[in-house]
Amino acid sequence: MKRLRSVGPVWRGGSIAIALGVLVPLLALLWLGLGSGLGHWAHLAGHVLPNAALNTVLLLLGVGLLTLLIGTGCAWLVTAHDFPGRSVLHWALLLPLAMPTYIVAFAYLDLLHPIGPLQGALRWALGLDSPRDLRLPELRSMGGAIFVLGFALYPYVYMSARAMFMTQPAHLMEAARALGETRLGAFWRVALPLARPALAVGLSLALLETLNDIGASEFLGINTLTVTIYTTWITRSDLAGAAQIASALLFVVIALVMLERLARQHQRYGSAQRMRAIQPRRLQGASAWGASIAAGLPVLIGFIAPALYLAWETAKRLSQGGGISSGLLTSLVNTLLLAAGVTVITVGAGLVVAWAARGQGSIRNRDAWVARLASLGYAVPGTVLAIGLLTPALALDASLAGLLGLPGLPLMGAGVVLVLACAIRFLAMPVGGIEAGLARLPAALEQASRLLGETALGTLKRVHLPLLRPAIVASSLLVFVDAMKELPATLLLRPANFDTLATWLYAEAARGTYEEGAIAALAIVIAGLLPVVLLARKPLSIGMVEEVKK
Amino acid sequence: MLGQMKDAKPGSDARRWGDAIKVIKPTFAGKNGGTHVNISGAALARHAPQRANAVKLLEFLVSPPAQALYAQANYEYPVRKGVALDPVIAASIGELKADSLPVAEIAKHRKQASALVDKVGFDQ
Repeated sequence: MKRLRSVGPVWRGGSIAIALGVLVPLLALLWLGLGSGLGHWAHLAGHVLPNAALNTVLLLLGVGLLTLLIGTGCAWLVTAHDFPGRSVLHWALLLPLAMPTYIVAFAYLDLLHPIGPLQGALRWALGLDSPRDLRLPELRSMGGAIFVLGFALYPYVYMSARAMFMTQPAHLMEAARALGETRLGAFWRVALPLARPALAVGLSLALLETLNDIGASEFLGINTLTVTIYTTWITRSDLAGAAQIASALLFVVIALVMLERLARQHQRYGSAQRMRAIQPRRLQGASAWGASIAAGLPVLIGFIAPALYLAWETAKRLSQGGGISSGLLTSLVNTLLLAAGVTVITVGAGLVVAWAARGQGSIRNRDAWVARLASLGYAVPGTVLAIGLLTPALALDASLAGLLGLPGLPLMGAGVVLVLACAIRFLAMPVGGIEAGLARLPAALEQASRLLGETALGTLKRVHLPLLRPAIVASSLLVFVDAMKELPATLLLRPANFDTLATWLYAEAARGTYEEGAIAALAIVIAGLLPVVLLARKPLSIGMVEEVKK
Repeated sequence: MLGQMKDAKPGSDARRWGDAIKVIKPTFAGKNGGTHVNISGAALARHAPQRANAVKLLEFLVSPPAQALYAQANYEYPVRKGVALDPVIAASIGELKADSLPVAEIAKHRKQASALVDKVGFDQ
């Protein structure tokens, strides 16, 4: 077949350059990790890695089980049943997405503290006097970390499971029931196996977030690989060691991404035909209220309790006349500037990559492959990305400083490296979002425009950009909010005396002072609510927006 | 932190917890062995543009009134002899016999020390 659309060399070149830029930190990391001697590696392998790897695996297992249980359970509950509160809960279950894991951990450390509100109220109710008389399990433990991360991250599984259950044809379940299967049996043997690809996608997203997390694990004292990378570089000043651990972590990431790709290959068979969807069954009496409680609990634990705590602490702080310090205001401005910069660069680059990948046939395969490479960053934990970027960035800085006769580190110092790191990490969202948007536009539009004499660039400007506006706005919003929340890469790459709301909160929590941390956290959560509201308002397109997020 | 808890309002949870804490000052072996003390230092960058003012600030920070402020506001040990300890600290931890090993000597062994920390699992 003759190719109908060709991608100009400029677009393709730009797209390839962007993909190579994404690969630079990963290649630098492997080079740094492999090039730094085996003596080093022996120490890490003997004393650091086993413990950190064990912790990471246990955490992944626990969080995986908990998110699957909550996410799948709640998705089935709201899709196949009707009970009081369902109309609110089906979107409220997404709310924990607005809470970065480190904020949930921050809130629960204070809420569940031995002299905090919950334990205090319990003691008061039981008539006990001293915290020593009532010992609850310690939150700073593996169990505590699994609890916090599980309730913060289950929406990834919920989102994809619900999208899958909603598109599952009802007749399959009805056939199973007619053949004598119980309701539960039909769920286990029909609905669940059909949803397996979607569950694997949601699960791998939740696990990638777990690997990316640094704040929650560190606040809760869990020494994961991610935390070890940070401490090896910051407190031991050992870049080679950090790079070696990061390379090890990269293999875990590759395994997770392969799990996700494998699952996506079979994603189609569940929703091959559009048939009558499963009708929710009305629950009565105790089981109805039981369902309300079961579906409400994750929202309460994952969002309402920590959000109320943050609001309460903020109100307390403001009413005590503490006000907002100029330092906090500066970090708010920094956060907004960083997020805006990252959004502009990421969406611009995403547009180039997606536009270059819009061809057809064999050409399309090659360009789509470039787009996949450019989207790799979403899977790479922030700390790993930061360590990988450090060496090339420092080399570039040194040569730039020498060339222009500038003192110090021009790119690092101006935060350019930080913006690049965030852009690499979040590039997948606009690439995916704009690609999905382009796929919905008929090829005839471009053909007509070109036949009428418009250039490729003119076609993009006058035909596609206006039509792509929803996709561009949605992915800009996602990138902006994720950049606002970003902690691990920001911690490692921010210039001296530069704080964002996230690093401000991290510093307060690390010092054990909680004064203005709650205000910073509340600001992040309010910003984080924006895309969740966007998600929640389009319940039917839930699967589409999940596509954007990828 | 300890000072804040021991100095908290009588009857409050923090005060009760603070009062329950007994401080031990570990010392190094040997006849001159004292307690290891972390110091908060200040330094002046070689090319600092406001050198004279910076020196003035450093001199103020180690002056008796500034050190007294540190002791009272922060429950820290003053670096200057003759400045009184905060009464809460004086009563609970008391005078400190700082170890005489120079910090530069300690810094030299940082790499070995952190390898040892990994080896014995000190942070776990």
